[in-house]
Amino acid sequence: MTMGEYEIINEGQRQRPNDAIIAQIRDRYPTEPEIDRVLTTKMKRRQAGKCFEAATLNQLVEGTSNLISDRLGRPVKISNAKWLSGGASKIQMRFELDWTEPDGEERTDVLVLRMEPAASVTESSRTREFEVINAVNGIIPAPRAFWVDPDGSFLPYPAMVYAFASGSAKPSYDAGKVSGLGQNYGPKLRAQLAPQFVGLLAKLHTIDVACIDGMKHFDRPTVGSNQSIIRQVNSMRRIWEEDRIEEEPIMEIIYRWLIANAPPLDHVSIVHGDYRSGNFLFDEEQGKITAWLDWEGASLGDRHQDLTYAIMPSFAHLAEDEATLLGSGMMAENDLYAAYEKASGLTVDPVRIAYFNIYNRYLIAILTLAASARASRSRGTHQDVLVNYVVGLGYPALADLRDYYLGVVT
Amino acid sequence: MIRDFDAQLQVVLTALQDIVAPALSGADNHVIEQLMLSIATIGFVKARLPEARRFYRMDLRSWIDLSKDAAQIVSVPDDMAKAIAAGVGVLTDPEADSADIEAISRQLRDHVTALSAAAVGQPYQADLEAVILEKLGVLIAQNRQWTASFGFELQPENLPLAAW
Repeated sequence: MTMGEYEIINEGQRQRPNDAIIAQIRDRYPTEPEIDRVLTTKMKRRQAGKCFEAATLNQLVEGTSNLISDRLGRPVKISNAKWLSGGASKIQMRFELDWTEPDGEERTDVLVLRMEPAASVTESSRTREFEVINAVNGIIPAPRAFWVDPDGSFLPYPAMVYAFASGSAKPSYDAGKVSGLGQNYGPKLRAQLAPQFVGLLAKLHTIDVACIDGMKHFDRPTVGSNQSIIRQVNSMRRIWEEDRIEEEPIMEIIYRWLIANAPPLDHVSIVHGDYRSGNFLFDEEQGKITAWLDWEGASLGDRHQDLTYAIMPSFAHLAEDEATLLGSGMMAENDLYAAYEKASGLTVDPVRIAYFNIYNRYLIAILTLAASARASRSRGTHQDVLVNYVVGLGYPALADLRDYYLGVVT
Repeated sequence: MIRDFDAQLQVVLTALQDIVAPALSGADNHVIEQLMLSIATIGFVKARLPEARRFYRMDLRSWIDLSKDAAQIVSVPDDMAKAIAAGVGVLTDPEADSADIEAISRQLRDHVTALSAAAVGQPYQADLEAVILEKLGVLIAQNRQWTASFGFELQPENLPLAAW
């Protein structure tokens, strides 16, 4: 059976791809070089039949110590290491480090090691995450990124070390919820956090990208071109091809639409890529956002991607009136756009909003029905039960994608 | 003694909920979270396992219907016509395994997608896409009902009734 000029890839080939299959998929869906590298690494790991191998805390301490010592050129002392919970995709260890800065300052810092498992809900580049966190340093509250082990030379898997950020991802009265999915902060906390949620997004999108020296592993898009968006759509389509458990014909229809209708960029922004409830920490008593986390999906691109992602139904809940849908538990869609325009000075374009509403729904359907399902089935993570649970979001997401798409094209 | 699945799952759930969970009071959050998700996942299996065969049959019926509708719009390849016939055969075979049913549904999913890809630029493209989007809307809603216990539905009471 063929699809266009290619033989359809079957489940056996997807579970254990050979070099030809990997090459064919890369050829069909060209994307940014660093994204290509990450996805190819995933497929090579799968080719080798590697499941996630749990590391002990001691192994991580040793690997982290070696990484930092290598980078500083002198020995360091790690103490009080312990596992850190939170997030569906990465392994995290909190620890204290006694060390000396290059300028001679002696310090003790509480730090976090953030390491990939063998497979993930979102395959991503630690190098890109490291670079973008440094790029927003001093502008957006985000933990300072210190060191990166991009290829897992010191640790079992690629990893980075960043500062521990204080705060909570969930309100204390709702700690049992899967982080960020339908998170309800309640009226009081919401009123405090929502203006910061929008204000920080506006700040992020108005950073002058041309002035950033770092971010070497990001393609630099061009205003007036839609090529960067096409590459992003292709990266998603590639994940669908590599990871899906079964075919959904709707996904192919919508992929074609996304390619045919990709809008040209009117402004290049740093796009967080996962800007939603659950991905920031806050001080509950002060009602203040203390840190934005999970920068792994960041890109240089169109602000409308973040705007529409923040209001995805998957991360929303109904307000107390049982009628108003609050995006990320913060604001109704139109209120969020109005506040954003005021804070950023940038326009919110309805055509691009429609496009990225479809793009983000497409992305969520892929990350749940394909990436999460494949990662948990292949015993690829340290918390397969959580990643598998997230697959339950897949059909609501697919229905939402279909309904929204029909609303736009008919 | 009949080791029925429902009883096996029930005793595991009871042990996890009544004995293990209280004993983990004070454990790390991620440990408690994984236990709670394990309980919910086993609960899903316990509720749906007796209905699984009926669900797979409904799923295959839907793919056969969609494939036949597509065949009204465009001539389908021989291997797709054979898959449709095999699907009809499996549905009338009381001894067919659930795995057989699932395998043909999977083939038809691939065939319909390939048909849609081949339709690009053809005069029937819009008609074919319309029928795919319409028919799969119904099937996706059934899948949402099937997985509603995972708690991701904003208004589960508005989902259509189970059709399996």
